[in-house]
Amino acid sequence: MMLIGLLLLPFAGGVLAWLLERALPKSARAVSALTLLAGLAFSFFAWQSGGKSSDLEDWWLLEWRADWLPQWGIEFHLGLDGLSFVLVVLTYVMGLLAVASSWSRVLNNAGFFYFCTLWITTGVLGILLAIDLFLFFVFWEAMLVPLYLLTSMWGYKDRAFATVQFFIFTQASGLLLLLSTVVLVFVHHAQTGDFTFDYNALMGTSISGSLQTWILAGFLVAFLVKLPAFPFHVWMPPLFSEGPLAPLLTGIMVKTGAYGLLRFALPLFPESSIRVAPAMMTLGAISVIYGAVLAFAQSDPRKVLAYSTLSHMGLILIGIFSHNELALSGVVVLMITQALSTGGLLMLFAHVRESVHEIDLDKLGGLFKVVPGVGVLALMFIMASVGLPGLGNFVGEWLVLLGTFGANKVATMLAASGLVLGAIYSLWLMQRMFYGELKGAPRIADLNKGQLSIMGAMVVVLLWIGLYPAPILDIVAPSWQDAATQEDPGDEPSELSTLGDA
Amino acid sequence: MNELYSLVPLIIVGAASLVLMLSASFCRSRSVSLGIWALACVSALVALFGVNGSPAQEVGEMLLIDNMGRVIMQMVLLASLVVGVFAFDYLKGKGEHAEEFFIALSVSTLGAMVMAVSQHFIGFFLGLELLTVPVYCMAAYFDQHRKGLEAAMKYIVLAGASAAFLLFGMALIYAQLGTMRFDEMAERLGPMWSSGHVILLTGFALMIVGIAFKLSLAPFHLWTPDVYEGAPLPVTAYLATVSKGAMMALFLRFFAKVGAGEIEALSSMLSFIAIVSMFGGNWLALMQRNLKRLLAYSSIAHMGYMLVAFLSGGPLATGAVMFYLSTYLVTSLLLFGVLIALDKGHSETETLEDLRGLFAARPVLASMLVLGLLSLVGVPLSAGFMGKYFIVVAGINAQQWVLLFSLVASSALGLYAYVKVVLILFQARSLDSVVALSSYRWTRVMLVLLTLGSLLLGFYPSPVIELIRAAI
Repeated sequence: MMLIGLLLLPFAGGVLAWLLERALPKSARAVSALTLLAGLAFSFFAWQSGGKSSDLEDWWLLEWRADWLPQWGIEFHLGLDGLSFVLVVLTYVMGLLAVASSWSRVLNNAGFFYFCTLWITTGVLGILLAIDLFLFFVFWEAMLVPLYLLTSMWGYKDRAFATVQFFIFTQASGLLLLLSTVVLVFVHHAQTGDFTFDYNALMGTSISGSLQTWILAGFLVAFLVKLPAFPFHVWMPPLFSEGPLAPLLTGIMVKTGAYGLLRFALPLFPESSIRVAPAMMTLGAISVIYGAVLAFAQSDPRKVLAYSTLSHMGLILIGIFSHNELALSGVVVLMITQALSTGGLLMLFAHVRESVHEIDLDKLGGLFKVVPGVGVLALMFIMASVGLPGLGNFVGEWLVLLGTFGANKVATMLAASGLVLGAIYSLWLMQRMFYGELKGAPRIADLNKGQLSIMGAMVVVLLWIGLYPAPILDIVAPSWQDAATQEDPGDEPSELSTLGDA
Repeated sequence: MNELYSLVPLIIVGAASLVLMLSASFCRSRSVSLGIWALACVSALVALFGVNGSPAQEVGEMLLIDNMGRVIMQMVLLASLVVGVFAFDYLKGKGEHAEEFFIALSVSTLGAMVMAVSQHFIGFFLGLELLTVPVYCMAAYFDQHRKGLEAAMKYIVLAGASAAFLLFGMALIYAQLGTMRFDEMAERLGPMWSSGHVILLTGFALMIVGIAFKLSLAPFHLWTPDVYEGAPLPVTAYLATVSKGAMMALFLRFFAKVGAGEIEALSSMLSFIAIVSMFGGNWLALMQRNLKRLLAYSSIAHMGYMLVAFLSGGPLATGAVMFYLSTYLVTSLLLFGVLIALDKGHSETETLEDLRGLFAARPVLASMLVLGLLSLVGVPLSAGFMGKYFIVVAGINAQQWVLLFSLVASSALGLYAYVKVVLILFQARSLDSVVALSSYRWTRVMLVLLTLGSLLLGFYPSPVIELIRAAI
């Protein structure tokens, strides 16, 4: 019961905001913020009360199911465990940040804007909570529509191309995901006579080697496009600079790709995921370096962040396919902290853009003199993104590198080099934008108290995760350990290769 | 006596055309025509609902009124009713008489219903001609319109040619098998196949050419964009829905009954046609600036998708085709209905320019248009997605990998065509704003019903699936 409430709360709030806006101007943003806060509190409450009743599966802390299309074996089945809980909280937080960052923006049709924002939030929550594969797919694709509307109606000038490109990439890869899902269901049906899309039921299906790899390929394409990983990342930089809610994008949607890999690709296809691991780690390593190099060359700071995200996602990809518990926990920490740090930076850049109307590193400089508040916070987020020990990102990166080293030393080394490159482009960004001579920035308002406090809170969270990550690691750890059919936590390459022959 | 009862829906529609003719001579009134037509459709539907589930009834040599035929007749009647409503408003807007249109519509619907239940070549052909000839009249209804006349001429010539192919194919098959009934053909096909191989194959191939024309499958699709563009909107709606639906249903019944799915060469031919249709339709749709032409090319692609289901064979395939047909009918009617509701009086709303900035001016109609377009794309929770999903399931069941990958690739290819239109709806408002004429009341009622239907099919298609399953 709680899960469906958790899922629908943002949507209901969005509808309310849309309707109220007509009656009371400027009420939509307050309604949205309140809804998201309520949702956040509710998710914590749900987590606390997560008792197990006797007739539910052991795996999920909370579960909810209802019949939807029984002839096709499809149910409306939601489930929450440690991994999903952490990401649900992140989603709500990022939603709040999105609302906060557009708080003072002048928007026509504000009610619909907030409705779309909350609709996206619901969509992402659906992705995180769905454990019926068909339902997962529905949410995966359905999230596109409000994003499309949002970017078309309130994006910046070159948004048309960015949006269309994104739409086509995601739809096309989604169809492959659908094909793979249905093939999996059919294989399961052939073995057990049971036509079902249920995650737990499908988990144990044993599929022959090459077929398993083909099915996995379909899943991988969809998730790699969303992650994004090289070479499917092409849609991301334009959307970062033209979309109106870049923090939302980076924080939420990008994580759905990683979540998909963790939740579906690895557990459902254990042997194949081990077999494709070297290729995936190679892609990850390429993403790390490619992203970092291109980030260095950008003149639009939001594109710098886009490529920086690509670089971090490469690291995440490497971590996921190392099949190591430490690395997987590190991946989750990295997801959270990267969302916060990059999101924070994007919010700052959006704030600057409000006054300047075109952020171009060639034309801006020395902003520290004008807006020290922005500068200090930017410095902190950049330090986090670089991986300074003491801040959250470092924990994530450290765990990933530690865990991956046993599986693939070369990939680890290349990923580690990404840290160095990351420092280069981040500091270069900082230098160009905030230090040096003041140019091209006549009048930028510094952050007001509200914005300062929100961003300050984000920095505090990053510090907290950096200094005391244990709670998160503890919550997430059971996701790797409990299910017997999860990916094998072996560090020895020999163990992995024998399993590949099974 | 049983035969008479099962014929009641057909009799009602036939009688409706007579009543319409008579009423035209007594009082010229559009409302009366619509009233008669609506009454006829509703009573025929009631008659069909009443006998749902009862055993199949053979009527003479030519008709077999079974459950599948009844379901198809219901779909045809519903679609024709909606087209009638659209036509009523449209003709009122143009200030034209409506009686002749409804007469043509009723005769054509009768033809479609005959096709839905035929089990004999002659029944097939009679139904086909009954369906097609009135459409010539409907397309050329506005005799001042050059485009309409041109469309009708093109359609006459090409439909006539394809009917000739069809007839020749039928003749060859008859020459070889000695019967025109589908069930007897099924019995005689097996042993005949080895000896009369070439003639039978040619016959079937020629028939497929004729059928593919009607279904606007590539490479026999050349009439589609021009006729769609030139004909008045309600006629285009009719062509896109009832005409294709009846032919697809008949094709399904014929192939399934005769067991022609066994013949390798035919399957290859159909696979080729399917792939070319899917890719060609989607690719050509990309460059269109006229929405009617865009929908024409999209219908080519969608017929290709249906063929993928068709080629998968088995009961799963039949269900998939019928379900996709129902979603396709609803979506097409919704899209054409929105275009009719946006009619400007002196000219139709058809180019993309006409639609620019529609969301700001007419949000409800624009949302319906978006719903229809997303359904054509296949975004989940839309009717079109459920249909496509069913096709994918059927295809995977039959392991038709080439066709499935073609479906995926061509869908991705054609995305931009629809997305482009959705984008234009949200752009800045144009100066020449489109105003819906207030007298198009009934059309808007129909649009609301169609939207609800589309949402139902997208979110909760179970009832419809059950209905179709019971019928197969």
